[in-house]
Amino acid sequence: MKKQKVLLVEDNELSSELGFSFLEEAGYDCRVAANGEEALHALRSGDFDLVLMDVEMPVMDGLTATRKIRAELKKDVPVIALSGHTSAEEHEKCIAAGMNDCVVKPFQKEALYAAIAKQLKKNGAAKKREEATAGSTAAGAVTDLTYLRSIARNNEGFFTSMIRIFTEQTPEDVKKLDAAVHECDFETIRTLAHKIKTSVVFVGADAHVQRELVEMEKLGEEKKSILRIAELFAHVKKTCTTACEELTLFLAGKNQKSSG
Amino acid sequence: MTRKTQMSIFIVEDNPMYSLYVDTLLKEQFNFKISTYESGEKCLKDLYLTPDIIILDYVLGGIDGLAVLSVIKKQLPDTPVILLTGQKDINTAIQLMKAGAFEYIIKDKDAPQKLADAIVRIEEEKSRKWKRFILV
Repeated sequence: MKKQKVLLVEDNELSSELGFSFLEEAGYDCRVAANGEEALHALRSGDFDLVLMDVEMPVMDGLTATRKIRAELKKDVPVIALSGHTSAEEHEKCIAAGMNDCVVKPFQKEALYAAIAKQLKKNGAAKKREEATAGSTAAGAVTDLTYLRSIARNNEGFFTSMIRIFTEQTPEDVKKLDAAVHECDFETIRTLAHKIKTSVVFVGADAHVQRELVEMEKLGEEKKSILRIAELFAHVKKTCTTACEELTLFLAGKNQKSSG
Repeated sequence: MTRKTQMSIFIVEDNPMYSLYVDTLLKEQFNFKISTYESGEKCLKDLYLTPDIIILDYVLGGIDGLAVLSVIKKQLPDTPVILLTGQKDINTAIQLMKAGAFEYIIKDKDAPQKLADAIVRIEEEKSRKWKRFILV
């Protein structure tokens, strides 16, 4: 596994040495900067998993540097403040500047490790979520693209086309089904319920709507209970609308990822 | 009479997602010329192109699979028609086989394999017939 990169920003040489040795000991790939300006320079030229930032430093202090990391560099890398003050006010100041946590100096090894682990874990989980929505299978509350991914294997064009067809076709089918329910057109209700039933399987929404579609298809065939059909349709419409919204978002995220 | 080098297949399926699915599956495994139709009516208009195999959905908007199958069997009695359906009803299966379906496949997770197997069987039968024709 690749070592995680930590940037230690500290003007006091002794603190810097100590911090460096702690981080190395814990297996992090550690770089040092002597003030906020050097830190910004390091962050511009490379990516870090985490920043440990002294608050009081010459040239550029830690609060200013963090504000610039967020506003100018637009980086959401976790920043942990290293502060000589223990007050709640100091802590708030750090958070307000965009820092994620605050460790009091002189720091204990364990406290430092715990604070780093907490931030890296949080960030790791967020990244995982992001990858899941943009890259592979999870789409939302109603849809689940695991099955589609499994049949598409590496055929990305097919995978995307299927989702796109669903988002284009299903609202049309639902609209036609709505009209058929209003007109008590049982034959059309039967065939459209059947058609949508096939579609929802591909986007993994069948768990939420399959039972209703099967019942609609059956009642359509038996040409009875239009009231029950209307009731079932309301659920089908709602679920399909949510599914389309989720998948449209998924496609937008995917596009953004491939173009960005 | 010359034997066509590339077989042509019709897919008749009103669900564009399933249609793309079958189209993609076949392209991965076979070298066919594939035409897709969203309704039985549209497919029937193109029967003069004499496809080698027809894959037909049973539940279609407009005229249904059974009616389409009957017309195909009148016009192209030797063209194998594979029925794909979401219905597990045995009576439907019997009705379709009686009407001349080559195979009846339920659209479940095994459908892709069953479809590929059926097509391989059709190809084998065709080549046997062709060999007999040459020997005679």
